[in-house]
Amino acid sequence: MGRGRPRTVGGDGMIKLLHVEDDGDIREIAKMSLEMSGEFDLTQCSDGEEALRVAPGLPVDVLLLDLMMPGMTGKEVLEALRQMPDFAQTPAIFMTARVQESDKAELMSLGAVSVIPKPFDPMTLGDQIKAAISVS
Amino acid sequence: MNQSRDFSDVRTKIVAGALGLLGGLGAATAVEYFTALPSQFVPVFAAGGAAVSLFSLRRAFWTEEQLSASDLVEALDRHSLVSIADRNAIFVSVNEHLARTVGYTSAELIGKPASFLYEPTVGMPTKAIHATLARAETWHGETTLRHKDGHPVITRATIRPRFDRRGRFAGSVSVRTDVSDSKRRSADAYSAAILDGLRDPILVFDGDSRVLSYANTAARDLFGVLAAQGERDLSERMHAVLGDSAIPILEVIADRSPGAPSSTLNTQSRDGMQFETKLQVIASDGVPDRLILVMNDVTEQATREEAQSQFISTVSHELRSPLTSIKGAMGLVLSKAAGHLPERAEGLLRIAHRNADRLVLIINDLLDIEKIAAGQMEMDIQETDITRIVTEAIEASAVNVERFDLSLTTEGLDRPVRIETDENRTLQVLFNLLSNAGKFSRAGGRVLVRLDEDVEAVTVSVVDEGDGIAIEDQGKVFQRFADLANSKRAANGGSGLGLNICKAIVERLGGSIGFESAEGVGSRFHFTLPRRQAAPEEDTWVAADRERSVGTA
Repeated sequence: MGRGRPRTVGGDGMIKLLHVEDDGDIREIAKMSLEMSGEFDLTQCSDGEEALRVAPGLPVDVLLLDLMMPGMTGKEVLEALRQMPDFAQTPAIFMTARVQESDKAELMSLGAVSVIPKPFDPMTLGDQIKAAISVS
Repeated sequence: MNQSRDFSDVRTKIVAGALGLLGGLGAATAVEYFTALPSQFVPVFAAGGAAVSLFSLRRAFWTEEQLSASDLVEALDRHSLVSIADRNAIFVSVNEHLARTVGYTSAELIGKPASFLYEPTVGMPTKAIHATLARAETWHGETTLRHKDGHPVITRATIRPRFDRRGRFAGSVSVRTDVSDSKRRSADAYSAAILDGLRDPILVFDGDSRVLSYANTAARDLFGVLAAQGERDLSERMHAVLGDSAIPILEVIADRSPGAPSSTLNTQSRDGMQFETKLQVIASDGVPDRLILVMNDVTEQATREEAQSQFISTVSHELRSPLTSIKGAMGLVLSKAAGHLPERAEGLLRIAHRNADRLVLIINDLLDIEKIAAGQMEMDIQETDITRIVTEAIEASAVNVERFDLSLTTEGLDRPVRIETDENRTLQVLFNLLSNAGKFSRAGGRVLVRLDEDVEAVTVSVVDEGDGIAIEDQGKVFQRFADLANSKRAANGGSGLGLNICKAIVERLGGSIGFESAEGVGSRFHFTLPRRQAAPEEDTWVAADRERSVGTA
């Protein structure tokens, strides 16, 4: 796992997803899960600073952000990305172990299209992401 | 006093005589000579006689002084509450000062028994007085009289027996001093000493004028020195310390309308201290109304609650992250994403996976319990169709229905039924009841889900034909870990918290939950929710407090 170096999987014609998650094991499971569906082109970052470094110029269809991370939180990452013209409208999905209704409402107000609670189901993660962006 | 002469003997006599006179001794002696006079004059002349005795003593000492007997009589008459009773303790005479002090006219009191003036709630030393008089001695002590309007009048009394010329007991003479004010002042001083020891700031205002009459040490520390300030000064100090939090407090202080209810306000000082401020008008007999302001310092409590909330959040995150990996990894392996597994390995992995699910459920339940305990369980109230929620719960329970080979029927779900509720929490309750019905049913058993409605409320019942609940266990069904000893739960998975949480959710939504069960026959669990939710409720203790204060106003 290239900590500090974004990894891109898949190829053209697929859903380009930028995944920011500090937990390496969860990154690995998400990667395997999304690889299984064969429809995602995945870039993974281990923290917000790395995401902001690689994001400029990166074609991204959807953002998948862990909420609670050391350093920048997922919310702060989204706020920073929203400042970049390329990411002003990109659909964002949060993953969180915190599932208070008020938190969810706050994230949705920031332009999130969905909040996926942890633990997530690796068998349906791809479907959940597709459902969220098709609704948006 | 002339210090060049030795008058020790004379002085002793004078002092003893004067004290005795003021206390009524001399008056009583003098009264002997005036019994033939109309009764209303007796106290005056009694005092007058006393004054004459004093006067003669004084003349031996201060020959150069001009002192009129009538001046003395009047001074004593004004100072003391004087009454004379006959041998049956019936008033035969009272002076004007006594009558006025207890709210009657002299005429109203004459002919009444002395006990007529005694405050019934305070033990009167009647027996001791009688015993002392019977020994032909004088009684000194404190007595509490009752004013016509009911308030107590505390007096320091001297009661002396009187005898007729043949030496027979003829009644008594009482001379009293009203000490109610000084009593109250010393009681106030005592209260103030106690209040000064408390850490919560306390202010006391006069009930009518709303002028600040007392600030305890904590209040003086918080607001700076407060001594007989004007209202503007207090307002400025409160604003300086409390910022905008001062506004509602000052409004309550200024509100002099009668029967204004007591208030409880959340107050935050500019430097981050938090108070629960209570204001209440206190009324009690014989004392002017006062407005009491108590600022209960809840800063620590608020900090603790914040820490607890933080803890819940941290536990939630810290436990779920590894579980995400555990469950995710096992799920991927089971899905053959990593290749084929030997059959026995797959069976073992399924057990591990199912128990990881169970662990997630327990963590969720524990977090819910924490939220309920901390009053942090939020409700997202929306108008919704409850039949849709019931249908969704049934769909989500399909795994259980299949696993336990149940046949599930529904009633009352054929048309939308709109209610105001929290959809996810209602779903949680239903899912729990359905899950229990499945767990405790026999294989192949029937489960009925039924919805009943009336104008005000909606009732959902989940009926199973399972083992039922033993009578002795029925009382603890909604308790936490109620079925800890039940091996069936352990076999089927569950935190033992589900029904406790269901009850909390339903009650939070203004509804009720219950069940009927017979061992060997089955159970019917049902909950009723109101169709409309009340406006956001205030903290229950605030409401309770308001009820209390209205009750006592």
